[in-house]
Amino acid sequence: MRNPFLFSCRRITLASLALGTCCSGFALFAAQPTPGARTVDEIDQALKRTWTRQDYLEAYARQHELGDWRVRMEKSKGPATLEHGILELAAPAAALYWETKDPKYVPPVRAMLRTEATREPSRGVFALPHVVRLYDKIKDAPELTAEDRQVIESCIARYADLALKREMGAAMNRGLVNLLGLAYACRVLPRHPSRPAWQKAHEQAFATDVLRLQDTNEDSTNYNMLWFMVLVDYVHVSGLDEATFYANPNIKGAFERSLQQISPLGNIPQYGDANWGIGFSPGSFERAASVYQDGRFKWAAQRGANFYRLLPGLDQRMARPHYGLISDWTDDSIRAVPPEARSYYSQRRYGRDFPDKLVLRSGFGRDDSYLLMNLFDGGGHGAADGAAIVSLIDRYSVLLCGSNYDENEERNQNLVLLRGKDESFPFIGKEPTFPLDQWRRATIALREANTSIGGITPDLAKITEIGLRIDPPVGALLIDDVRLVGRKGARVLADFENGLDGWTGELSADSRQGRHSVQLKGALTMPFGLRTPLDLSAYDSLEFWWKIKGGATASSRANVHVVLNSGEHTNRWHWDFLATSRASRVSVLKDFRHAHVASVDLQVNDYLGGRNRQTRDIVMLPGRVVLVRDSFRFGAAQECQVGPLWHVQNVLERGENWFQTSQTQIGGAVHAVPIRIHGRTFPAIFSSIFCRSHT
Amino acid sequence: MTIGTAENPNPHSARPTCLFQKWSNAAAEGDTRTFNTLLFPNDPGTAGATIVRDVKILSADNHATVLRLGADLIVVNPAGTLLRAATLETDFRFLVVKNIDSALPYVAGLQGRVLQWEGKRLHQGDATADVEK
Repeated sequence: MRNPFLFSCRRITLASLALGTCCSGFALFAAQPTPGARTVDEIDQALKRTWTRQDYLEAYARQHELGDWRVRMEKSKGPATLEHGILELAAPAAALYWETKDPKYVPPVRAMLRTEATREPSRGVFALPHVVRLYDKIKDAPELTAEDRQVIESCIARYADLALKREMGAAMNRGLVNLLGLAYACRVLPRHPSRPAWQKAHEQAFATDVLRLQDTNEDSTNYNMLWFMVLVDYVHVSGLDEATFYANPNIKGAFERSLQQISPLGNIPQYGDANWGIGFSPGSFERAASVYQDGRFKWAAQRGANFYRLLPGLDQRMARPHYGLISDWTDDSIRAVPPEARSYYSQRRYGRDFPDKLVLRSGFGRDDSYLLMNLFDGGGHGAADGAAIVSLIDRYSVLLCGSNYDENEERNQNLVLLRGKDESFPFIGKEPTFPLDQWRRATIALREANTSIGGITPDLAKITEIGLRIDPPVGALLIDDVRLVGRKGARVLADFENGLDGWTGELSADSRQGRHSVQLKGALTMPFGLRTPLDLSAYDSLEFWWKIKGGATASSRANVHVVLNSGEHTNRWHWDFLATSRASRVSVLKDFRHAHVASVDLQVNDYLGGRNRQTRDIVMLPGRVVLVRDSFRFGAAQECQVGPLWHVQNVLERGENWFQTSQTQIGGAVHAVPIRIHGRTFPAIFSSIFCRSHT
Repeated sequence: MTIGTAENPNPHSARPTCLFQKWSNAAAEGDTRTFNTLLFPNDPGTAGATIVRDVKILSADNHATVLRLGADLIVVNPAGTLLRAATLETDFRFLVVKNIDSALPYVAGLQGRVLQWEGKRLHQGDATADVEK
């Protein structure tokens, strides 16, 4: 008979290991503390710290004293070498001058602005709001000379005039950044002759896009939060009635959605085009706490700030202009209140509601588990990963996380992949070929919901433009026999037999069945299409023949978009009818009965033409196990390969079926900070929170 | 069904390996294929989750899910307890049969298929002995 005591001890040991904690009697199994490594207890304590306006100001001061702004500015002198992002480094000094009026903070900001003013104004939209916001903070400083003001204001006006020619679509970050720059320009140069044009442009675009959509059309942790930060700033600077704006239900819903996505670590894990750790805005949550008088947002802001506190470089992050505004937006009278811990299903409203993200969680604390699942493919900066688990966190350890979007494999992570019979499976490092030199028929369902790119559904009765583009430009697209089809018949829009029929592009002799076609040479803009008022309300589909001309560079990322405009800015509707990998078009959350069980039903359009159904069932038991069951039902008879694809760290020598899914590298080089944990050096930020208790 | 791994040739990739299960054949419209994957978040000795492929679900209801993974029988119950019952492996370190009594009813629900695991009738003592050695 076995010794019951031995059995008992063994069981405790193993159980302790299973829980990731070790008692002192079994130190053999515990990793030794490493300088700089953090324990679960340390993380737990750090996350509970409260932040006040004064704390944020002290963070600015620490960053300013580091002097990075000076070093980088010196290195960047000269029009050709000025670093992108350098302006951000002056934000702490500007904020501190605004707060203290201490003259010592003026010279750094002035030097930065004057350096910028010597540049050719060729940089993108991001320079204008930085310049004008810095100037806004110090413009009343007596230390500025008349020449300083003339040089800086001239730079602002020059950049603002250029901004008028740039993208205005404010449902995405870049467009809204542009509007923000114009709004600031109006504020600091109220008597400039161009001011009426600046004001009209930003107000009109904001009303058209943001006030109608009340959300961002991008699907990326980073860009979502950037949009929030810029939005909060814009609403304040532009003179809008803030109370009325924040009362918009969809705006409030967007803040709520972000709140619910916060992980136990205090961040919002990355999805889409994102890096670990920078997709969070304490400032916008501070603002939300103030305008909604809601302590949950205060809690969120503080969690986010504490998350950054856990990572080296917090103060550097605080240097960013958006963070440099945190002190402006912080209301110390609001008490942080932890939100109710619950799983959460979010939708987005782009003319209609469609599923966005699913969060399964047991709580926000040290013993809790968190799973984030993406529910659809699409949105700007999004990844083709509908129903993918993009984050799994348990007991403050990041167990699974999407890596950088720009890596090819990221585009198909933790999902069911469908490929042609003779194609490589999976295709890591090998892009699927783009079909060349084959005429194919495209049918664009005008009334079918589309989750890609968003925008507002156009009024089919008031279409002003039909356009096509290849994104990215990989070659020439030929189009022929464009027609509208409805229940009452069809209408040929263009067959190109007698010329271009009003379409832009070039007539091509490379035609289908001896007929003419029109050719678009790849471009990101829309040089190709028909610009004329159209009433499509009687039709159900737009159909045409298309071909990618031989010699084009094959690319898995190429999509052909059909764009319908019914307004001046972003009232457009994109159809990706040529996604070269899977694209889930419709996702329905079938079952969400309690916190750890979910079932999602997807319609998955594959590039072979099939419209398939996928059901992904997930059972997450806190801290123990996640079961994923995928059922895939084919929508068409075809020879193909299909199966789940998981990216893993390395094969463990534990048996045939065991692999490690943890990620040790997140984000681009800019944000990668070596961290020591358990005696190992990981080349990325997020490893700093990889730890187990060794007490 | 093919089960395999693919090495990622991207030197900058955070993910050197890709794990996949692949079904490849001529599909008829309406054909259904099902794939199961398990992730164990707390696998000691590793820094993160462990993924397990080719899982067969033997039984599932509102009280428990019973899975077969290779030579292992796994019972997951709603209380957050993962039980590996009746494993025939001896080198798995982290899973412990903490409460075989609660697992057995679900094992019994398998109508004898598991109770006759590889010719050996399982009782509570058998299962714990297997784990302990």
